[in-house]
Amino acid sequence: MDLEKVTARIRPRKGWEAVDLGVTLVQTHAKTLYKTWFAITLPIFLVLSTVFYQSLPLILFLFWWLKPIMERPLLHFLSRELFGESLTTKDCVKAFYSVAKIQWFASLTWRRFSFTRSLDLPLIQLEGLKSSARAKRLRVIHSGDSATAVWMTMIYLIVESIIYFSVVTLFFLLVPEIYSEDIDFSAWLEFESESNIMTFMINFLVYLSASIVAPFYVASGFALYLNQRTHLEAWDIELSFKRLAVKLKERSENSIVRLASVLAVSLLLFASLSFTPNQAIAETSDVEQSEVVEEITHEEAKTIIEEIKAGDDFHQIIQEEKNVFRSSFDEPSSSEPISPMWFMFARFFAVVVEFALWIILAVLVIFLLIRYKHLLIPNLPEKKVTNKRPDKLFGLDLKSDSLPEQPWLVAKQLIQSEQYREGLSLLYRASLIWYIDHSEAVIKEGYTELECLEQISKYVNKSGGSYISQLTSFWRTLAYAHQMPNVGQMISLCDQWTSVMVSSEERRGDNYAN
Amino acid sequence: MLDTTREIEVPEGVELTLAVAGLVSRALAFMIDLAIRWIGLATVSGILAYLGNFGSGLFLILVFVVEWFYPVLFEVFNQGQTIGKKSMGIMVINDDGTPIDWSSSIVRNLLRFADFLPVLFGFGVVSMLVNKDFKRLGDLAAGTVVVHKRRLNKTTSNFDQDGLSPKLPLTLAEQSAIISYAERSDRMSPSRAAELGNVLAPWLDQDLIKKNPDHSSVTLKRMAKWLRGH
Repeated sequence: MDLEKVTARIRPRKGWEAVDLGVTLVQTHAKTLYKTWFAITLPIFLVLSTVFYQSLPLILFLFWWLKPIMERPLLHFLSRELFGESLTTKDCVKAFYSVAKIQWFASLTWRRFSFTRSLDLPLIQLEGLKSSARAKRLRVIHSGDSATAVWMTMIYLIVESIIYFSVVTLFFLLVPEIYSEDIDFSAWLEFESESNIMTFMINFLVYLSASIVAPFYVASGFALYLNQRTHLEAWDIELSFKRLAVKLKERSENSIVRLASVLAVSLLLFASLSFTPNQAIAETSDVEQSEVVEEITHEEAKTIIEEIKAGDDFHQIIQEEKNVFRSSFDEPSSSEPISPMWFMFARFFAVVVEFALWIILAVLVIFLLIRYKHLLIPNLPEKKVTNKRPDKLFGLDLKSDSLPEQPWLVAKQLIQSEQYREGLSLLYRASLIWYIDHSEAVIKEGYTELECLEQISKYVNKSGGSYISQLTSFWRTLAYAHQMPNVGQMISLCDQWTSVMVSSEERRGDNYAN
Repeated sequence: MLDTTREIEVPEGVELTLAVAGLVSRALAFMIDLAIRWIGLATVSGILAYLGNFGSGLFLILVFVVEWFYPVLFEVFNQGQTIGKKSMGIMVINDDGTPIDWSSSIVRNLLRFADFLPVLFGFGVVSMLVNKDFKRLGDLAAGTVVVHKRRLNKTTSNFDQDGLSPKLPLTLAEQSAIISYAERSDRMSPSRAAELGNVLAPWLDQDLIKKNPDHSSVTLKRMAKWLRGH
């Protein structure tokens, strides 16, 4: 047994994890395992069926009784496979006789009812232990958790029957009623039937379900056995230590001189190495790399790249198939009587759902009433939308109490007394405030003059529009460009103010009249 | 290398190894849960029987809630473990290793129905035997996986010698081998412990080994103490 060749990861596991490893073993080697199993058991089953065709339970009983012997080729295969030796189905079948005869009498008599059968089998088959040696070893192997093996046996026993009943049920579910009416369902559950064909069918199904489970049972028992030994003998540690030893040996052979001197000078641990393995790897790879880089010319590199790109890695086509149900047929409702408990439950469920539906309806109606109440009550007073006026726009104070009574007059006086900036600013401010208050223009804090103009001109008539745009442009030239607009035009703007604003007011009035 | 683990790389670039749990441990966990549910329901039904029709109505609601939401509530609020799963040391998590959430738990437990088909969890059993991650149909739909919860090793070390630093940088696997040697050598037979220690003996202190054949084992334990830090 060479642990280095082992094909499964050796680590100490929980018992249940080991059982799962058995399942993985079967998944990986399913083909050979099942081929071997059927190659050996199918002839046996057929022979039994022909010889004892009159008594059905006897066939199943005999088959069950012989199982410990028939499982042995599977263990034979698994134990070789684990240590890297691949056997074919033929090899396993050939080995059947030699493994079957090992302590066959004990296995078929007093050990037949053992619940730890699959865990114990490796002891006699692989370790070749007998009587007292076996008993002693068994105690050691069972010292860990033999309970796992017992539970595993029971679960796999249940799985066998689940598979049998599932297949039978599936069969009856899928066979059309006109054919299945003649078949006596109870026969399949009682494993007994009067017709011979039926008898054979039942037997064969039981045999099949036992066959499906058998490799899992053997493999899980074997995995449990391996795990126990891993725990007891620390196989994982042995593997790591041996690898470490090999590494150390290689290093020391490379530097025997140093080894000698270091051993002579000091008694340090692991001092035989002058450099760390990482450094060693780094150095060698550096050398290799530089050589590679020097050797390859540009053209060569290009051909290599093209070769790689033409390879399979770059031309993988992945096909995906998906099943989509396009339609389903409505089944005709069954006329079978419903049991009272289900009926009660259905009634109760119906009441709950009905209640919930009424509540949902009520909520929906209330929601619709609130949402569309203005349609039901036409003259509902609409909330007056008040434009909120920002306190300041581009540095101008927009509070209405900052305005004089008649801003246009004050502005005119200021312009006439050559305080153009103050006058024009007052006029502009007054206009903005007036439009914000009296039109639907929405002016937000942070708007520029042009944005204000854009907003306002949406809501004013033509004369108002030209007025406010002229005023804005005057204000911008004066405020930012420091260029004096025509004084006469400024004064005329002041004069027009009242008439423009009044005309806008009238237009607003018209709107409301409509 | 065959193993029952599932590797998950988290966004931080760390690789987690999860040991997937298979049919036997899951079936036993299910049976424990089933027993708990039925014993609980039987007890409650005894009490509700005094309430007549109202009681039986209430009992039916209870059956519905317990049968469908017992696993969901336990999985979401008890770190992916029902009572049965906890006693078997297994837990449900999402495929990417994150804790199970409401939607996954509800999907996997509603689809228990599909696993039950055609009878007695036939499809579920076959699915768990065939699938690489031992998933039943509900797990496949919800993107969940049942894993073995890792047990923490209790290290009660009464080893009183000083730690000893190895003179050579060891890889992580080598370090953990030395530490697990120190932890498990007490449970091995003495001859086996000595045999393992002797594998590395040629690279240990030769003079001390001449004086005391057990020295390699002691040295390895001291080294483990140094590596472990206590």
